[in-house]
Amino acid sequence: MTASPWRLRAAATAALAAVAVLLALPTPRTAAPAAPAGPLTLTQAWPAARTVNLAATMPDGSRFFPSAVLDPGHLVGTVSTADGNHTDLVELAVADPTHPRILQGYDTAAGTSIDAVTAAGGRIYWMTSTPDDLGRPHTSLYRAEAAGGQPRDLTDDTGRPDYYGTRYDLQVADGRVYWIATRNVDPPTSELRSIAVDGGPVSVRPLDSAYALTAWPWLTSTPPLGQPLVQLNAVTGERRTIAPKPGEQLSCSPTWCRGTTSNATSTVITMRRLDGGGEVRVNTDGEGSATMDVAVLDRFELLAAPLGGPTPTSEGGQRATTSEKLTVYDLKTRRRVAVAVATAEGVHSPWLWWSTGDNETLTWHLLDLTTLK
Amino acid sequence: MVRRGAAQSVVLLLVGGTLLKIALAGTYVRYVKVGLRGYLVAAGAVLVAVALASLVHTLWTAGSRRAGHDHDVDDGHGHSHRGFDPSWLLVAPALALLLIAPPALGSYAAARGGTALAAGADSDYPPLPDGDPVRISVLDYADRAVFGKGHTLGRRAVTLSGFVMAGDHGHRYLARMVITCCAADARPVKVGLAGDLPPDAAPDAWLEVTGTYTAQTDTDPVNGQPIPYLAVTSARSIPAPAQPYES
Repeated sequence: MTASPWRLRAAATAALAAVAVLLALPTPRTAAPAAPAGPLTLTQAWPAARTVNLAATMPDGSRFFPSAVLDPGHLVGTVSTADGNHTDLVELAVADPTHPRILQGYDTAAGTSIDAVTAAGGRIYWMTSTPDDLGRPHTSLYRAEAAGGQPRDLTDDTGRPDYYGTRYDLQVADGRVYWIATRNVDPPTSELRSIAVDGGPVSVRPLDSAYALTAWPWLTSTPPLGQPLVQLNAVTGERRTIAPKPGEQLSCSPTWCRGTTSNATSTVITMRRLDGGGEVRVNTDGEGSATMDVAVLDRFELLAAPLGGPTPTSEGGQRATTSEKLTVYDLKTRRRVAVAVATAEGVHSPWLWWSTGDNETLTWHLLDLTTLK
Repeated sequence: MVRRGAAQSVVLLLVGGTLLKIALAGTYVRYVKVGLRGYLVAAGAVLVAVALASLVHTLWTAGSRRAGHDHDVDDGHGHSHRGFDPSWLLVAPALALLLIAPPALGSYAAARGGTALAAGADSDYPPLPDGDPVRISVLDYADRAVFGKGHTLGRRAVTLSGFVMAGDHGHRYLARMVITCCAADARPVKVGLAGDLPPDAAPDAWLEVTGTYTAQTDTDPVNGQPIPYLAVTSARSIPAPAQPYES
C-alpha cells in the first residue's frame, strides 16, 4: 500500500484542521459544586451575605446570648452561669469572646432580670427589673458608652414597662429613649415614656388605648383576633386603622402587615402592605413566625418550623433540644431561602442571629440582613 | 511508514498544542504547580515545532519517494505492517484536557488522602505577619497549630481559604490540596472548623473563614494524623481561586 502524495497531503491537511479546531475550542467550564437538594440556601441566594460566627461557651462553662449588635465585631448580650444563678450583661468582642466587658452583674436567683437591651449611636441602653420584698418589680433604665467607662443609671422613673419581645421595646430616636408602659389595666391603656439620652426628667404621654412601639415614630395597637389594628404616629398624631380579614390576627409595621389565620390543622401567614396590596402567603404548612418583628428592613419575614426528633450534634451524639428550620421569606423577590437549622433565633434589625449546637458547642451565627443584595 | 510518520506528527502537534493552550489559558494550575508554566510553554513549543518540522519532512519525502518509486514496507502479500501504534494513546489525555478540562482536585480526593503536615515536632516558627486578621495558608496554620502547639498563633485572628470537606458525624473541614509538582502527588491539608458554619456550605464550596486558634484537634481516619481546628468567627463564600493548590 503506497500513499499517494496528494492523498497524504489531503489527509494531513484534514488532520491539521481537526487539531486546529480542537485547540480553538473554548475551555470547558468546570461544573460548580452540586447544589444541595431542597430550597434555595443562603449562600446560593445571596453569595455576599455576611455572617459572623461566635463560639458562645466561656471557659468556665457559662454561655453567651446576644441581645444587640454594636457593629460586626462587637455584641451586647448576657452571659449566664451554668447554674443560672448569675447573669452578666456584657459587651463582647467577636475576636476575643472569652474576655467580655461586664456592664452589670445580676443575681438572677433573686429575680433580677434584664428585660430590654438596645444599642444606638455608640451607646448601650438597657432596662432591668428587681423585685422588692413584696415581689413588686422595680425597673431602672441604664446607659453605657460602648467605648468604655462606668454604666450610668438614667432613671428609675420607668412606670410599668411593657415588653413585646421586639427590638422596638426600647428605642432611641431624636436624642431620646422611648418605651411603652402600662397606664391602666381595665380598660387597657398605655403611656409613651421617654428620656433624653443624657438623662433628665422623664416625659409621660398618656395614650387612649394599649399600644406597642414599632419603627419610630409609629405606635401600633395589639388587637385581639379579628379586631382592627390601629397605628398612631407619635409625632404628627396621624392615625391609621387596618381592618383584618375574618378570623385573622393582625400585626403590622409601618409598611407591612402580617395576617395569621389558624385552624385546628394549619396556620396560614400572609403578608400585605398597609393598603392591602402585594398580598402573599409566606409560610408553608408547619411554619410559624420566628420573631415578633414584622417585615424586618421592610423586606424580610422570618419563619421557623420545628423539626421532629432529636438532632445530631457535632460530636456525633444526639440531643433532645428542639431544633427549628429557619427560613427567610424575601418580600422583594418573593422567594423562600433556607437559612439554618437552629436551636434558637433572634433579631435586632438589621441583624438576624441563630444558634447551633449546645453545651460546649453552642455557637451563634449572626447575619447582617443589609448584605442580602 | 509515511502515513504513520504523518499521523505521529499530527498527534505530537495535538499534544504540544494542548500543552501550549492550557499553559497560556491558565488552566494548567489545576494539574501542575504554578511555577511550571514556563516549562510547559517551552515543552509545548518544542513539541509543536518538532511536529511541524516532522510533518513537513514527511510530506516532502513522500513526494520524493513517489518520484523514486519508494513505498511502504510490504510483507510480500501486498499489505503494509501497520499494528496498533501506541502513540495514539497520547490523544486521550489531550482530548480530555481540551474537551472536558477536569477540575482541580477537591473534597472527593481530600477525603481519601490523609492530612499532610510538613514540619517536624521541634519546628520553630517565625511570628505571624502583621495584619488583623492575618491571611495565612491552610498548611501554615495547620503546621503552627499542630507542631507549634499554637504558640505563634496565640489569640490572633487568622483568615484561611479553602474548600469545604465533610467529615464523619457532621464535622466539616476546610481543606486545601498541597502539591510538590503536580496533581498526581497532591495531598490534602485539613483544618477542622469549630463552631458550625452556615449549613449550606456544601462540599467543594470555597470559603474564606476567619477565626482564632483553638487547642481542639481531631484524628484523620485515613492516616491517623492530627487535624487542628479553627474557632471560626466569620465565614463567607468565595469563588474558587485561580490557584487552587498550595505548595
